[in-house]
Amino acid sequence: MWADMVEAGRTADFRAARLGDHATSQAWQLLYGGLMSAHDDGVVLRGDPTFTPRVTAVTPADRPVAVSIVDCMDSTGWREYSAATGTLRDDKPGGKHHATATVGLLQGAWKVTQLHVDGVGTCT
Amino acid sequence: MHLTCRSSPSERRSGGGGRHCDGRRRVRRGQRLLTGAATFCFVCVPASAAVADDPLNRVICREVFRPGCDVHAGTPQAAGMQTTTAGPGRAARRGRAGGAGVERVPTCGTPSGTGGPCSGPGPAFRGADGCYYQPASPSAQVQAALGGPGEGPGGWYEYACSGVTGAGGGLRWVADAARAAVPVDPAAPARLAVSRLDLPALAIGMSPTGPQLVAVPMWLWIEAGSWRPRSATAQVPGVAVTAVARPSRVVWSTGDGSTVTCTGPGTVWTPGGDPAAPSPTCGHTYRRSSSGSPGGTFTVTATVSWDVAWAGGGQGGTVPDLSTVSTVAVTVTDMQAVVNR
Repeated sequence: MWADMVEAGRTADFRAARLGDHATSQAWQLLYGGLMSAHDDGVVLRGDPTFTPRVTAVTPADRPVAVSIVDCMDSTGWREYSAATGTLRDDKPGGKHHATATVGLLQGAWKVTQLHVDGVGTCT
Repeated sequence: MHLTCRSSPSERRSGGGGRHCDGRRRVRRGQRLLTGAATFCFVCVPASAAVADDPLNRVICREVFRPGCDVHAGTPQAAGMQTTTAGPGRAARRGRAGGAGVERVPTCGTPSGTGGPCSGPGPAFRGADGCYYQPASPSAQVQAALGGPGEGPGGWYEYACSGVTGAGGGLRWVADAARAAVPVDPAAPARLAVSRLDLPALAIGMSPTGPQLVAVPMWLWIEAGSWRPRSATAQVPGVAVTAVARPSRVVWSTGDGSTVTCTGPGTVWTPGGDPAAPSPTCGHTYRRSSSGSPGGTFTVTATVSWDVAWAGGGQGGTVPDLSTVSTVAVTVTDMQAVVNR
């Protein structure tokens, strides 16, 4: 899902079909809205965030249909650039964000259904 | 409507040091400078926490109007596949599997709290974000709190989103150009069509009729007239989708601890047939009487699985099975007891 977001973010293409490849529902809306706001602001996203995901719950354990994940995302290397000039918007990089996600098995495909990202500095 | 506390990346960026909460802000896309904090207020965030070029700031829910951030989101109860208690003559429909991450058929909530189907009248439209948009006329204060109207032709819309685990919505400005570019996705009308399927509890047939006898084969079937597909259609501007449900199998619980799975409606017993012969397709033979059961009867439950498929908008697909439940109480008598009485 984040790889789709990063790729679509390089052109702030909020209508990118691949955004729905691994995300749906609220998670999809969140990414869509985030890219749309970047598009509106004339911003593109370059670089890559890094992840340290950890599974916190698998339900039900024998035949899972939902998996809960907690992550400490690091957005230091993923930044916003002006689409017009290609210059960094600012010289203030991001940092580590606590994030949670729920991945559901929907018609044979695993997709992130719920996503919540906290502010910078919320995990170590 | 929650207009109380809101901030935007542009506000956070504009903060110098310390906290940014001066009750004034520049309208994001407009040119007016608004004053008067009474009409709206901000989330006061320390400027140090507001990193200017961190893309993740765009997916952090600090405002309920951001897509995916609505306060209505994330409540499975809001996405209602209606479930009723099973009983004689009543249908209980449900997905085959329940729980988190399983597709449910949603109804759309709106910010005003009125639930309803996922479509709107007249010029409402469906966006690529999975939401339905209906024209709205927010007050000047509300418009200002939302950042003012965008440039060029467009309008304010109240939107309602349906999803797997909940419904969300809000109010936002949509440019006509953006609206025209939004492709119609049949997934949501497909869900709506599925939700409109009116699957009845199918009529149970059994032989012998009335009380059953221990050791005498009981034939079980679903009445032929009711074993047929049901369909429903949903239409939103730009696409119509039809969902079809076909009964596929029946799991019979006979009340004595036995379960019989039949891949069809079963065979209707015809008068003149051998009463001692078991059904060629679907039946059960009781080995004990129901006298020891509550009420002196066994409850026979027929759980019918329906294969559900949809087609429309040049696409098609399936959704998890639906099921309906029919029940009937039967008295099972031990022939020996009858003889001894």
